[in-house]
Amino acid sequence: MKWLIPVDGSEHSLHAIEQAVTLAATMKELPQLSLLNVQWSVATLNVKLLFDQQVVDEYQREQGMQALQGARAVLDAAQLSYQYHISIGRPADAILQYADAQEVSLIIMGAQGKEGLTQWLLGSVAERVLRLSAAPVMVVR
Amino acid sequence: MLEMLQTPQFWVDVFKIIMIDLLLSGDNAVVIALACRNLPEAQRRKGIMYGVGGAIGLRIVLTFFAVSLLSLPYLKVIGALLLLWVGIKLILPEDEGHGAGSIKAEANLWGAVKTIIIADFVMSLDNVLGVAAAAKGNVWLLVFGLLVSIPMIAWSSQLALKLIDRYPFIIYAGGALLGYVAGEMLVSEVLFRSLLETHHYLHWVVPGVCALLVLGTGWLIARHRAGLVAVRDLMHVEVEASSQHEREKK
Repeated sequence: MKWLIPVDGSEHSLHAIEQAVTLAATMKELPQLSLLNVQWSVATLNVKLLFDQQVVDEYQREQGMQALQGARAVLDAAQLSYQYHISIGRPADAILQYADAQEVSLIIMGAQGKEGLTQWLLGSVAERVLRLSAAPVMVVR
Repeated sequence: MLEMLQTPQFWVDVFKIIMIDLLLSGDNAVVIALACRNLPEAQRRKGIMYGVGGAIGLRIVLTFFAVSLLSLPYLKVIGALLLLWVGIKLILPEDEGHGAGSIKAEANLWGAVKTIIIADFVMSLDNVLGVAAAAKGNVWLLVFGLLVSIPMIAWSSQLALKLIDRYPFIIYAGGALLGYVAGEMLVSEVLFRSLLETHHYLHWVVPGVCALLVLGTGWLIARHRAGLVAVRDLMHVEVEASSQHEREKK
């Protein structure tokens, strides 16, 4: 069993990770847990003109690590093995692509991200994943 | 001032300015954050604050500078051509490669602030020119344009980036808008005054043609470039439960 838990550092994603830990404990065989954080690309024309790719990547990695911090603490406290992954792109698409590539058997995610206005304008990531995912999706409230 | 608020033209101009600000200063906040990355924690906030302050000050100076320059003959033609180019650049898909990337993330406060000011000088020019063209010499609109751009410099939500990603037509609308504004600037050039008085229709034909020109050129160049890589992996780490030992795969 491979479980994917997309994480954006929000309260809702922490609920999802706690739910995943609770569920994992009831399984006969511990599932492989993957945390995924997706960063929007910030490499626009001006940014590319002014900064090295390396500097931009490091910055985005730092942002990603920050977003993953809470979820990792929960898994560390529960003494579970896991892997974490940071990618750059549109969140829903990156989640779907990762789930596909890793042949994930379940996606567990929070119902809402941390982006208020943006989410209202763009629609929620969870909705899009729910609609397009080939793997089963569990949305945690 | 109050009569001005009642004309539809005023609100059209306000809308234009918000669009231009949104499209052309969206990445300012990211640049400031990048420039302050290497500062120690305590100085980082200060660096960002000074950077934002400096960027806003610089933008005010540049705006008034641009407006006085644009009142000189010929310079509106140059300004209009530059704006056409800004519009085309907006439509073009981004190259994967980075430029020279000459600016380093500085490790001291003044170095970082200097970096931000230099970066902002490069970034502000497009925006200032666009707003100056859309404001057509109206001081209230100019000030409004400046005020709208300030939260975008200070607040790194990357809203424009995400909106464009979700609704790509925004970028075409923005390109066309910049073309239109460039055309308006062109017809307000004093050199063409006599021509425009005899051929009144040029007042809307020239901006329309400029908008189409931006769309057409942008589309032509974009067609020759490959699409973007949508999702890119940044890092992958495995954590073992027993030893909390981490190893990076790639």
